[in-house]
Amino acid sequence: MKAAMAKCPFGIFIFDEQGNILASRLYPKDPQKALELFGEKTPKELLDQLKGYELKTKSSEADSMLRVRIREIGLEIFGSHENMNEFLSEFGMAFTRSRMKKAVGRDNLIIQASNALDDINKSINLFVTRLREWYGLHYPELKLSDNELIKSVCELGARENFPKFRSSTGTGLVPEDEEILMKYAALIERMHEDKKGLEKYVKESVRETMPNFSSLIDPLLAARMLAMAGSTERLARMTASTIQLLGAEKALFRHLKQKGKPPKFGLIFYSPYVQNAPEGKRGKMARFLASKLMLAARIDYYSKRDESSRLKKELEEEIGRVLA
Amino acid sequence: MKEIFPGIFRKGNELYTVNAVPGKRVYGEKLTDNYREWIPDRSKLASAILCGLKEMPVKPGAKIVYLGASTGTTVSHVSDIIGLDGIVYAVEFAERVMRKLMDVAKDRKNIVPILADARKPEDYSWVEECDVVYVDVADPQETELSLRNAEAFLKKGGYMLIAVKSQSIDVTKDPKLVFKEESEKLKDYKILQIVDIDKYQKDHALVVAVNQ
Repeated sequence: MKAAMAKCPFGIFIFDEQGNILASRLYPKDPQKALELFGEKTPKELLDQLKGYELKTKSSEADSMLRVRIREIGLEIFGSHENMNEFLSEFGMAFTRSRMKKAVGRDNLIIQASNALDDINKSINLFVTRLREWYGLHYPELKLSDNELIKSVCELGARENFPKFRSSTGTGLVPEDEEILMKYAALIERMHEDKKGLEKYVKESVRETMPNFSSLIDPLLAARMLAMAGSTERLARMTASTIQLLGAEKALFRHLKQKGKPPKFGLIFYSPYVQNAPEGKRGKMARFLASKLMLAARIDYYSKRDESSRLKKELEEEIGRVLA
Repeated sequence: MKEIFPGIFRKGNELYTVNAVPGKRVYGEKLTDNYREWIPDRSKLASAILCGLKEMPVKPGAKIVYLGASTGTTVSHVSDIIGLDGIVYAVEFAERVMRKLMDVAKDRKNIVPILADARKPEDYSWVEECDVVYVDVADPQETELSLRNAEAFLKKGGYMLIAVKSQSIDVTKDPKLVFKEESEKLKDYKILQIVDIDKYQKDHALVVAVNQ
């Protein structure tokens, strides 16, 4: 004779082929405890009651037989819809809470750090533009790169302290003007330092969690691709073509709506393999790199072996063949 | 204020439900006395009501499976309508929005939050048989997953409500064509109405079907 088992938040129920309940075991009325038992294996004393039956422990037929009776069973235990629903609500809370804990991993921390790095880069740019405009009122003839400008204003202050200073059409500074400008430059300088620390952290953490992926592509770029994908798991599930177009979603959808050319690359373009290739070959390079990245992402997530040297060698061989 | 469906009130072009948690807002909506405004721009179900939904299966005491519960904006109004004798199993896959949904469920004892993938009903097979399966997930396979869930959880004579976003099914096709094709997939169900809610939610429609 056959029997099938199904579980619900109230307990375990075993049905025969006609849908009669052969045996059951109720959980306690505490949602947290019920959830714990719900996740455990079938207790032995219940199985002992079913000697002589061929028992299926996972059965969608039994699930539906139980499903139509859950209300009835629950009402018997709790006396009212209201009390029964309250129990189910708390069971759902506990069920969800136990799943949430597992879902946040190290990759989520890296994603936040990588996004923070993007933010800080944008902020530095904004601040430098302001500094240039501000200091330009005083010394418009000065031609320096961003980093040199920050450093010089921070260390030297007014134009008179620059070794190469001759004359200027800009306005003069009183000591208060100079002080506040130097402080502002120092602030940018510090952001610059902090950015380096953040960069180092992102690089190292990415190399640790995604050794294969980050061996094929700059770790900071790897982190940005991870951020676009959402998690190492989602990245591992992506097809090579999706990886190839990460960051080119706007162009892709424009193309799908039958306006415009299909994009060949997204973030992947910033890899020297793609960027340094001759123009007609870039799409091909992007395709090669993406397919290797796809393999790397899966190795990183599922087996965690380090196959970076093999992947890198294979990729370079393929690229060499095309460029030759 | 006029009660247009059980538990749902209308004043001009505004909808209201009776707040199950007096004095508390869920998403910045207006509170007047013990009514809570139901904003159509934020909820496809509310949009459908204002766009001429004829039958409203979400009513006091109803049991509902809600796929794609998100932060619980619509779910909170469903919770208001069904009351404590009803129950809504709120399935959501994204953890970020689940946190907010759990906050909503904390005050409302008729919401069962479930963190799971709506494409895999076997993952929450412990949900009881229900009167309504409401689906609002932006997935190209939305209609297929709705059918699978309805097969598992919907009682005979129960209602299926599917908020279809034509952009999620196929960005290249004309919305009207997408709605038609998707509703043709529901051949074992009787389609009662396809409510065009484009006025409040661009390129969306709510398909109402009954399980015969």
